Amino acid sequence: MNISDIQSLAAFTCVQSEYNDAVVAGGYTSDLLSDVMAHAEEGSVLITIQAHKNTVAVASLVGLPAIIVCNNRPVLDDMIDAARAEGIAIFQTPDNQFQTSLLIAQHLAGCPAR
Amino acid sequence: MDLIRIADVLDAELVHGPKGWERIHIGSVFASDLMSDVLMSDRDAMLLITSLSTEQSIRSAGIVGAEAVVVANSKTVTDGMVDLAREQGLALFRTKFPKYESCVRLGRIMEG
Amino acid sequence: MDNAQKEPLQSSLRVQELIYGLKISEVMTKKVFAVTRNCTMRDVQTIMKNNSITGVPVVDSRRVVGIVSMNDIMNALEKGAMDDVVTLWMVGEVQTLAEDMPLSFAISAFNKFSFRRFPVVNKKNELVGIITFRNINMALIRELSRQLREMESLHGGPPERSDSLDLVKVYQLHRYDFENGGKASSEIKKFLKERGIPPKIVRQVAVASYELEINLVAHSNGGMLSFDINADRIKISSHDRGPGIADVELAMTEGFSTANEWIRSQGFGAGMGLPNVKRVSDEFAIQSAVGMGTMVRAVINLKKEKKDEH
Repeated sequence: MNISDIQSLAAFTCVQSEYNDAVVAGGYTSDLLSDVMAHAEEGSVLITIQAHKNTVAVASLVGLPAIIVCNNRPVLDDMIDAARAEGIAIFQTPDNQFQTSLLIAQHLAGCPAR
Repeated sequence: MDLIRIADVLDAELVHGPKGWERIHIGSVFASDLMSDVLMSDRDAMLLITSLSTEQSIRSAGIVGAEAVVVANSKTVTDGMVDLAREQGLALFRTKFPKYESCVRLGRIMEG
Repeated sequence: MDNAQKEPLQSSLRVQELIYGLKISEVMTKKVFAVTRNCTMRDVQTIMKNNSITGVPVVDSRRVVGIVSMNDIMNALEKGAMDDVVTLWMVGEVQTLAEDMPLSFAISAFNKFSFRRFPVVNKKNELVGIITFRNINMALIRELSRQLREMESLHGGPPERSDSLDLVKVYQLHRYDFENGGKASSEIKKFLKERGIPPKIVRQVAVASYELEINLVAHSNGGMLSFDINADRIKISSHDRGPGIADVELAMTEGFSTANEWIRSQGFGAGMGLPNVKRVSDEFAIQSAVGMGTMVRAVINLKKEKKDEH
């Protein structure tokens, strides 16, 4: 699955679409940036409600190509600008972190939810 | 779903369990590390999965009446957390899986 | 081991709560002697002498444009300039206080600025009073004697019933003391639960007080959280000693936060705290002034048909 495949899913709204398309290697769900820094694997999409500029900085450091912001949390302009500069995609979803983790995992496994 | 099943799927270590914890019914799973987010959740028979291993995660879970808390990433659980869990009548676990993996594993059995 | 710090006595907390409960308008001197721009320094000196005061505001259509203190009189006297108009000697750019601010804001202002008095203005920015430390001392003595009398008259009344809902309790919170943030909410939650309050309301109270506690710990220089409970409603008030919120509307916007990374690593600072308090409260009010403090009041009604929420 590629980042662009996430964009095509109904659950997600793309709020930063100027990204470098890449293969999604996995998922990482966290709101603690130190935890993301320590444990997230390169190429994973970050599932979080932590919608601010520093999240982009950490994603960029770890090499996470996309951030999914759950619970429709507002994404501020400075976060979008930072992500655009780094070529990182940002998606918004009304779903929570649990639901989103499942959805991403199902698509990664090639058996999308009905 | 019974809590024992969840513990099994997450290969979780029981840190504190009230009497009869094995049969506590879990109806929904909530995953978050931000306490305000937890406080906004309004569900019955809830399990909280969090990578925030502090007394505040136990307090927040207690406030919203969660049944159990699972600390992800094998984070250290303090004595204060155990005391609070006992006080609030919560079951407390630790799993080696990160939050994402924990959600995915639980999601699989909840659907099946 | 728990922290070695001893819990302050409830009585001393009650005194502090007074400072938060009183409004500046209840404490200030309402009869203000002020002069207009065209008055002379000699006019001011006469006013000071006749009324035993040491500071006189200068107003222009009721707006404060300056203040003349004893010090300015001395300076003018030294230069033989007592017939100059006040505008030449007054201190302009006066720090004023609003009449509806809690008294605690005035105390912060006295600590922050070196002024001996502050002109007090109303919503239209018109001069309505003046406040000095003397006013504050007098008000506190007055209120404390009143409370004492009340306590004396209550003494010997019916013994407190253990199922009574009436409770006034004050908790003190310290900056960055995340360990103790949440204790007040737990106690109150237990108190309400034991008295058979519906779980949904207990939860609303717990969420509001918990968020307020965490705000005090994470964002303020310390302050207090007080509960005033009776059979009709639960009133939660939070007061702090600053730093104050520059833009209250922004602070009420979901997602906005001034939290640093450390606070975030503690699981807070998602910019949901105040909106959460408002969401669970039936009445909500916030007041803040930079450098002085923030006051939040949340009321949750016990007698109500709960509106649906999810």
